[in-house]
Amino acid sequence: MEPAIQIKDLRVDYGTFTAVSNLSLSIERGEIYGLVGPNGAGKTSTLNVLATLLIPTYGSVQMAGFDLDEEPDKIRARLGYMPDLAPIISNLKVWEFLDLFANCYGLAGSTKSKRVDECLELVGMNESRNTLCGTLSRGMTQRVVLAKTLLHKPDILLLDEPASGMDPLARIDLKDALQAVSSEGATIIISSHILSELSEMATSVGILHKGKLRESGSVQQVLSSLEHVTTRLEVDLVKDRHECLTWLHEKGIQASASDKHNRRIELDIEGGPAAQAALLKRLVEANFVINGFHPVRSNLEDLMRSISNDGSES
Amino acid sequence: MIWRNPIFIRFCRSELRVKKAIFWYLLTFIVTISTVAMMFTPQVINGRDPVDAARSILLPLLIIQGVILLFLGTGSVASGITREKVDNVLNYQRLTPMRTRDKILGYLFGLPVRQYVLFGITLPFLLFILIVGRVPPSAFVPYYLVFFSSTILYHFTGLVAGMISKRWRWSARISQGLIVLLYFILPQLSHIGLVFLEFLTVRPVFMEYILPIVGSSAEIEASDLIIFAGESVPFFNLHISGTLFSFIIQSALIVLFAAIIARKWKSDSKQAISKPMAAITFTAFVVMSLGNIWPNLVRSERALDIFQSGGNLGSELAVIVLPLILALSTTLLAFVLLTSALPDPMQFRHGLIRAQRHLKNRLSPWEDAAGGYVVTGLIFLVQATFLCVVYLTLFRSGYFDGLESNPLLSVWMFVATGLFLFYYQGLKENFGSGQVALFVLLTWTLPGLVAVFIILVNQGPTTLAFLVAGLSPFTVIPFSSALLNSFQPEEAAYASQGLAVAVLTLLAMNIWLHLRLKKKRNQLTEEELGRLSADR
Repeated sequence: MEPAIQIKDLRVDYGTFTAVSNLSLSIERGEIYGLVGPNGAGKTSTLNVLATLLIPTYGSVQMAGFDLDEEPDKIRARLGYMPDLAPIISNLKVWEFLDLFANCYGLAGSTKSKRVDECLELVGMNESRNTLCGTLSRGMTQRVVLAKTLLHKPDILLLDEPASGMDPLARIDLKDALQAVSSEGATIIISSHILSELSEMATSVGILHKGKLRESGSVQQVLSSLEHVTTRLEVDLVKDRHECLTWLHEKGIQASASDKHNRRIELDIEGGPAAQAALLKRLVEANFVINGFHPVRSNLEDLMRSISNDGSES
Repeated sequence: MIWRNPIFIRFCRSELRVKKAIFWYLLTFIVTISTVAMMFTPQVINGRDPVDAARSILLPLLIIQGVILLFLGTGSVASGITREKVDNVLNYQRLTPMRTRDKILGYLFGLPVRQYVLFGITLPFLLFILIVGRVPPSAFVPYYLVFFSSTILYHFTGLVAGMISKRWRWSARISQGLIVLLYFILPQLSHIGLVFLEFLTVRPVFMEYILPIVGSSAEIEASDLIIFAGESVPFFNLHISGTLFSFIIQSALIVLFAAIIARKWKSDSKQAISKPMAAITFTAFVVMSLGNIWPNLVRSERALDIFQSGGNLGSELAVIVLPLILALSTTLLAFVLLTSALPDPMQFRHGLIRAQRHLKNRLSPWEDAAGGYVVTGLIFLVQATFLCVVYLTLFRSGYFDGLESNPLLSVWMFVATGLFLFYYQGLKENFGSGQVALFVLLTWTLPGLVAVFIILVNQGPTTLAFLVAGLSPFTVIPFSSALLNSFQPEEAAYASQGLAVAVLTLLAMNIWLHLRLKKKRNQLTEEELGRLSADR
């Protein structure tokens, strides 16, 4: 079976600046693919090309069996696109907004009403159906736009930072909604600059940096490829900070006491989530009472910097 | 059906909410009823025939309707579509599987839906005037047909302005500018022979059908306002009704605007018009210009009253002025069309990269990103043929008889327009629209202003002034026309000196610009070939 999305040698230029360079990617049907990268990595440009809204400098894209260059209209009919900072029509009520697009996608009569209700239910916005869109919070707007994106049961969903502005509960709803859609066979590309956010819902991820795809594969594969990355950790102890520092030094781990918190230790550890989990286990086994254990610089910028350095070295 | 169009329904919902629109409904009602009551009642009380009294209110009511649909409606369309674009909502619509035609119609009638309702509020008063004033359908039906086609044209203007401008404020300014251009400036060009531009407005049909029935109360002389007051329009040897001519002109422009909008719907990054569309528009303009000016060229009885000549322009003036007007107006149009159709340096660059990647030496000349040599050449050919026909007809009609001017000097006009067109093409493709504007300001207008300064200081024309003026590329056209000036030989001599400088300047600029383009192309080809082999 041919992949749902196949990108080959994609390049996008804005003037002399190359935003996406030689991107080749293949995504299977039913997959939830996370595209992760810092701001300016080329995620939105890639999604805009896939959404048929941006003409690439060159490269070929096949989606749902159609060539993007030759049959964009056929692709559009099978596509659901939710842009970053998803805009909304502020002077329409929530149900009117969905009704408009249900009509535009050719739904009519009771099928239309039923589908509008289903989508509102899926994103948890049924109670706000008569609210003017312009009065909704950022997170609620994201939910309504997601409902609109799902109206016509698209084969391919392109979601650009869909979770931004959503509270934790809404994020769980989003994850559930996407998994439900994916289980019906839809292929989803979801972008974010937060790797942990994507690792919860994506089946595979790709890391985009400065327009180039640095890593791509299953979530586990990509995470393990980041094992050599150094991450700064903050460990909050209930007591025995001095003992813990000594213990860490004995184990060859450079650590220091935090200036701001008298029960916190800051340390650098090499490796990804697996290495962090192993350290936590060892600390607990050594009878230290841990109150908090969190990475402070395991953000994507650091990972990107590391990946980028690797790239230049090789 | 438009009332089933989802986009139209959306605007009906959002724009016609009573809470939001009640002010405008009441304002329109109050203004209209006050106008009708205050103008009709006193006249009838003072013993005037109700038929005349009712007819006298027609003009104010038509003005109210014009303000609502043409002015406010166009503003709503332009600002509404830009807001949709800036807010990114337009992209949602771009992705829906509705036909482009339906999307455009939805916005065209949906954005100004409140203005249509306001127009509807004035209709009972119109009905009162038509019934009491016994206005015959033969008068108001043609008027309203042209009024609605003008409305559509103006709303299309708003859509085009909104689609091509990137900022909300710009769209409002562009659409206001376009309306002033279409409604007030271009119609004035009818006085110099470009009569068809007058039919972009409702004024000719108003003069033809409404003014006669408004009667003495109007106190307006039609001929004060326009060249054609209720007359047929000359087109080569034909005479076409003003209403029909309005329809033809407005429909042609509507088709052009619809094509621009359809292109912008498909992709926002595309140029406003395609190269074939530019060539077709240019040819249509040339044919219309020639058709209208034809009676003057062949010294027909129906010659236009241009330059207040009473249709009898003197030979000395005609051989200079007629070709000059036509050369300037067609060059100006070519300038606009090439600006809209030629790729800017980045599009040009991307086109070259695409061609390299697809292992082609070059793109098809009609592709958007392809260079503009073919389309510029085609436009030049059409313009040259047109000017050739004009000069030949002037010659055959005996305009050169008895003049000392040598008709062969008209060859310089072809050289001038050709050099200018290719110069502009090179400029646009090398530097893009933004920097072209800077170029125009500095190299086109500055030498002209310095020349005027020199003339003012010397209290008369001097060789130096013409030489300096020649540095401005645009002067090449008036100078080439002035070579045929037989009644002021001294001026013709000055013009020939200015022309020499202008031609040399343009020639040098052309060589520089086109060599630069070639160098750029070669450089990019090498860069891409290097990149390609590196990628592999």
